[in-house]
Amino acid sequence: MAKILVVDDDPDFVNLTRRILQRKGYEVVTAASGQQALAVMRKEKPDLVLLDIMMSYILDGLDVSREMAQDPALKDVPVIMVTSLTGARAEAAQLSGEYVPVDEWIHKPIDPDRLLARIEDALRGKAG
Amino acid sequence: MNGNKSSEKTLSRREFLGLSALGLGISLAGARSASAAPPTASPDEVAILYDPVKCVGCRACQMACKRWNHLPSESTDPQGIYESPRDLSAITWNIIKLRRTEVGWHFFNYQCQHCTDAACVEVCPTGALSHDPLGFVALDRGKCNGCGYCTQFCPYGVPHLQVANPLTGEAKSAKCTFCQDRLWSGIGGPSCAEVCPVGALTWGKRGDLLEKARARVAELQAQGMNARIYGENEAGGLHRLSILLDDPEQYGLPSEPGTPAFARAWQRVIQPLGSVAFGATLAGILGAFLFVRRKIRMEEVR
Amino acid sequence: MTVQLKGRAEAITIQWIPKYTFMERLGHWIHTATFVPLAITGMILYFPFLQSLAQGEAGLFIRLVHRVAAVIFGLLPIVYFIFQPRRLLLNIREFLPNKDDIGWLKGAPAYYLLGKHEAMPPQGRFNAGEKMNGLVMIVAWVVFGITGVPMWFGKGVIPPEVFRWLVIFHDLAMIVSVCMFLIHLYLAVAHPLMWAGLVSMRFGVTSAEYAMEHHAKWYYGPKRAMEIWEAKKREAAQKGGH
Repeated sequence: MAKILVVDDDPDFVNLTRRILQRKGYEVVTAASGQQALAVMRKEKPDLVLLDIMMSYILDGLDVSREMAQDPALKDVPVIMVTSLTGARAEAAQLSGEYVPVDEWIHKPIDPDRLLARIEDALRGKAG
Repeated sequence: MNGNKSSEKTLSRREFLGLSALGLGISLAGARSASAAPPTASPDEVAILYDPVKCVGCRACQMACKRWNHLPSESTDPQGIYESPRDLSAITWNIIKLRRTEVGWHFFNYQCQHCTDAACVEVCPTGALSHDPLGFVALDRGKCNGCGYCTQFCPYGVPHLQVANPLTGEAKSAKCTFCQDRLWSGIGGPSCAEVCPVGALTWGKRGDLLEKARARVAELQAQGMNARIYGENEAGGLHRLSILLDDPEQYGLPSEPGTPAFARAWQRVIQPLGSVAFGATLAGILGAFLFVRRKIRMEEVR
Repeated sequence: MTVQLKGRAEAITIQWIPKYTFMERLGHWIHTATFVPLAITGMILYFPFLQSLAQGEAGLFIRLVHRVAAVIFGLLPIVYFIFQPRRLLLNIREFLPNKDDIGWLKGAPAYYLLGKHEAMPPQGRFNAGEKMNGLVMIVAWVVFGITGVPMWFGKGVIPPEVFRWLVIFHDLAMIVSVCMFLIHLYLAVAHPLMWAGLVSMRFGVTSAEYAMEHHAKWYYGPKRAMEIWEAKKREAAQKGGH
């Protein structure tokens, strides 16, 4: 089964998510900060990354995502952004100066079923 | 910046003067108490004189005090000792203690020393304890809020708290009042001094009593006793004068009572310090605000 | 800040960033609600010119209010610790001084009094002023507890000489913390540049733009925040040159 990297500085979220994913049969590795996440990614080569935005600083997750996009080894790994940032409002696409590529976006608190569905979609999209 | 001429001046003259006045005023209001000088005793004020050589330990003074002030008796267990109760308390304001020395047993009466420069008066936050014009330290139990500072600053450990509720802090201070009500109403003097059958405790004008004391000390010294007056100048002059036959420490009395330096530091340094600090902070804030108002336009703030 | 989803026509704009959890905010406001009565009742007992308010029945009531508020004030951090220990420890760590604070101290007059934005180096989640406030309050809490409890229960139990020291330190802690409180109140309520502070303490979120400006290190991360600041300084220098 696929290997998923869960990145979040909140140990409760990491444990909860790990339990959900492991019950489904996924292999789980974890990291607690942006720096740690990139190191783990390069070593473990996960099939998908669940990425929190706010860790050691607000845009930590976004910086990770940007670095992944610039690294040939990592740019094709699907990224699902998980966050509690509010005020998110979808608007017509305009590439702004802060363009950050992610595959999916999910708000906390997460619905386990929806998370698993999104993960499946993202993995299938990659394989396909 | 596209400001007009008036925005160039960050603080108008009027505002500056007003601010300085505010800061200065608050600081001075608190600092006023720092400059008051300690009082000194006058010979026309009343006092009590205690002569332990005459004292026979009959404890009529203890009883009279309890009677006049409607104080209940302490519940004590018989321990086969002479002193009972053992010490001053919230309901015992006058007590005879027994001193055993090589030459014999001596009695000594303890009560409020009615200091002229009283620490309890200095630290009392309500003014319940005050230096009465007649000379003694009066206690207004109505004003007392039970804080207990007097009990912690008196060099003789005289005031005691009568605690109604230790949790809420409901309490009243209690000590010998020189029978203030008898003096104010003109009935007479302190009950203890009036009841003493041998004239060991007497009361009168402080100047007269000092003369009497000096004569008595000379008389005792002629008989070979190491007599001296206690209370002539201590703490600005006590209104309870005593004749001692030894160093004050032998009687459990401090040789240099005065108001503890802490009490003075507290009232005259730290309290004004608080006023100055608050005054300066408020003035500073107000000044900064008026200054900033001119310099930062709200429209520019994101 | 806008985030675009790969291969889709949608984008998401972030306006509000969570800054304070519910416990943090609740703790802050309970702290305020107890600190103010404590300060007021304390000052009535402290200042001679307020003597008449401290007398008799009124005085007993004031002392009672002081004690009730003191119990809540004292227990608050303990309750906070029980509910969110990690958060409390994180807050304490964030209050500790570091190199950023020297920069803040140097830039503060120009920034807060003259509004020169480029004078302030990037700050983390708490700037030096906020750290000072936090540390003063924490130290004051400790001092008030250590002095206040014996002042309440210790008369006749502890030696008077010790008691007198307790009163002095209780007073000093009061002076410092109340002055800090006045400054904190001013900056939180009246200063034009600090508008988002009160919003964040009430609702838990701060505006992304405000965080970009005032807590750039917390927002962008240390490296990028410094880059942005260098650019800002260069821009201001060029403008000044003309």
